Amino acid sequence: MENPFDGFDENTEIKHVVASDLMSDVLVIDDEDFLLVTSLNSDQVVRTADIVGASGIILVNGKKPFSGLVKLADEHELPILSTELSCFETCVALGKLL
Amino acid sequence: MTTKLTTGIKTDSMRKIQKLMKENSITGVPILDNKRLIGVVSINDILSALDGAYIDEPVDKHMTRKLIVLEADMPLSFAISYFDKYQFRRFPVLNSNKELVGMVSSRDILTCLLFEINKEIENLESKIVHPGINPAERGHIHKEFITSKFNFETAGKASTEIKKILKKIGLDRKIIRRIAVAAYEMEMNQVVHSYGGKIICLINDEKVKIIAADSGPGIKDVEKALEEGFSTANDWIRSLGFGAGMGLPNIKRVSDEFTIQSQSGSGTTVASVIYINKGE
Repeated sequence: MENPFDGFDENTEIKHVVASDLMSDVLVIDDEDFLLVTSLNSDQVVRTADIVGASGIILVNGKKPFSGLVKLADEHELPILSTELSCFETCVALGKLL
Repeated sequence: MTTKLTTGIKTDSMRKIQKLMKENSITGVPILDNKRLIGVVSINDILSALDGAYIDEPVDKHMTRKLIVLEADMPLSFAISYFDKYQFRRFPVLNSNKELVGMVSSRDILTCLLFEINKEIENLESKIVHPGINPAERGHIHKEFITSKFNFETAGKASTEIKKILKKIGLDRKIIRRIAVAAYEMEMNQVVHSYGGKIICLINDEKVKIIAADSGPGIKDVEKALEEGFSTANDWIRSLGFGAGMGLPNIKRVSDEFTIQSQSGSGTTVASVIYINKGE
């Protein structure tokens, strides 16, 4: 992971985890303050996360956010992380933390 | 103009230039002596070289030396008039030191004009007041945003702006979220399915109304479109994370009032009303 805690601080609250590559599915979820786990590397990930009030984004499968995406995430004050783990492995790891 | 240039020198063979053309898919190669332009080898020159069997000779003898050039600070309209005046497909561009800095093709000019036209259209469209709105509905805040087909770079910007406005007013977080989700789904629908349109946000003391009005092509079967999971989106749109057939049902779900009007062949208008004082 790169700068694993950049953007997160002790006030960042994570209540749920949502894993999906389909932003349409993320938009129907009623929870807020969730961590979005996805392999979709596009502007729409940050925009969707902002609209639904997600706490942060984890890009899985070793996807590195392209530079424009980091900038957009900064503008929305959304932390964005990337991991070499697969979506399933990431969810298992997060599940152990919950 | 194009500034990444493929160039040759006078000792290059005609055959070498022909290869350069093939490799770079171009039809003219400027020949330089230091940075000074001394000639151009065109496709015609290459054809003549093949015909006359001197393709292996240096370009120095066979390139076109009588050149019409443009200067870098000339206005674009000047360049356009040159295309009318001369039958060349491209013109070399020189700076004030007579050094070659680029080539202008008719394609460069078209791209530039198209870009300017789009900018102007956006500018004009932003001035149009949408006729479908009853003046009494205008409320305290009235914001309009333009969306364009398949422009995923800006898709979502209108909703982000709307969300910011609602936050500024200080609405309840849950209400803001519902409105933002409705606006975002409408915006994505326009980008994915329509020829482009407008997202209009009207706010007064009691409610927020989001209207999405596009210019076509209209929905064939509105009832079907309202079913969860029904979608006409194609695979590459799905690869962008949309097109799951949840958009319209989701707008309906978060709205207090929801209307949709559409006809195949004309535009679609979707409206969502969310009351902001509900439950207080």
